[in-house]
Amino acid sequence: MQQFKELDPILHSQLRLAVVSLLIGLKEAEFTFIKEKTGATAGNLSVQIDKLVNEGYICIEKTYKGKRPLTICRITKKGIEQFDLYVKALQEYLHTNKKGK
Amino acid sequence: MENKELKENITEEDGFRIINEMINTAKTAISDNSFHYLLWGWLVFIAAALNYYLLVYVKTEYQWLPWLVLMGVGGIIAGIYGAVEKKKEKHVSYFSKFMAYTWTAVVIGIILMGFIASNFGVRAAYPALMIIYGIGLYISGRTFKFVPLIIGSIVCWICGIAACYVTFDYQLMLLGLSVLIGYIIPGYILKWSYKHATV
Repeated sequence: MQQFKELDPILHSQLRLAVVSLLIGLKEAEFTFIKEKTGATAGNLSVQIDKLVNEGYICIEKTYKGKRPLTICRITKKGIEQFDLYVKALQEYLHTNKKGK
Repeated sequence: MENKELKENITEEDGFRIINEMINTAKTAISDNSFHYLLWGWLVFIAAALNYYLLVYVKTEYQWLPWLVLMGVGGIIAGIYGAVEKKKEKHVSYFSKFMAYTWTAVVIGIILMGFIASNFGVRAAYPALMIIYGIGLYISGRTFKFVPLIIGSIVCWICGIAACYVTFDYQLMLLGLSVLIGYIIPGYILKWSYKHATV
């Protein structure tokens, strides 16, 4: 399968792309909600969320719900822009691929 | 996601599939909000029926009492239910925020109707009340692409216009009809759809 070199490596990963795609349609989501919807393990999801936070694609807020610790995730402006560019790159790929056939 | 094996390297086709899947997941993660339609639908329906009974048969000056009691009870129940649901909520969608703002505006409009009622009489306020109800229903119906709410909003508007030409006792009947078709029936359909969608 042909791989597109110019695709954003941060987003071109199954779990990170799933997290950003989920957050793009929501105002905010709890860590447990993302875990449930992506089917990922807590450990793996934490690592990928950290990567997205370090790149500035999403931001997290650590708070409490009663006595329970709570992590709320939100997509950032940079995350929205990068997601938009990623989708455009995918569309371009699909267009080129169709022309090639 | 169906595929639990999470890969670092994905193909472009995988990318499209993941995006579609997750955006659809966010779209369908809408909570069952039939409770509010049923609560307010039934309370307004019962209050209108009691008001009609007290006005036509008992002929008491306290015919407005059911409104005071039932709307107060409704406010307390809705407040407690809302607080419990907020605790359970694991995500906030733009839709739910938008709907919260819409219904806040509707409730403020209904409260402000009190000024119309006190200056021009209750008979003048009821048509406007049904029209305001209808606006909230129309926005909700169009936003969630839920036809019973859109039909309900149109019925509310028709009842609102009809209420301009009838006496107060008939206005109460029209109000009952508008909440039956605009709130109670769509509320049950919504509850049924949500139950069957999540089984």
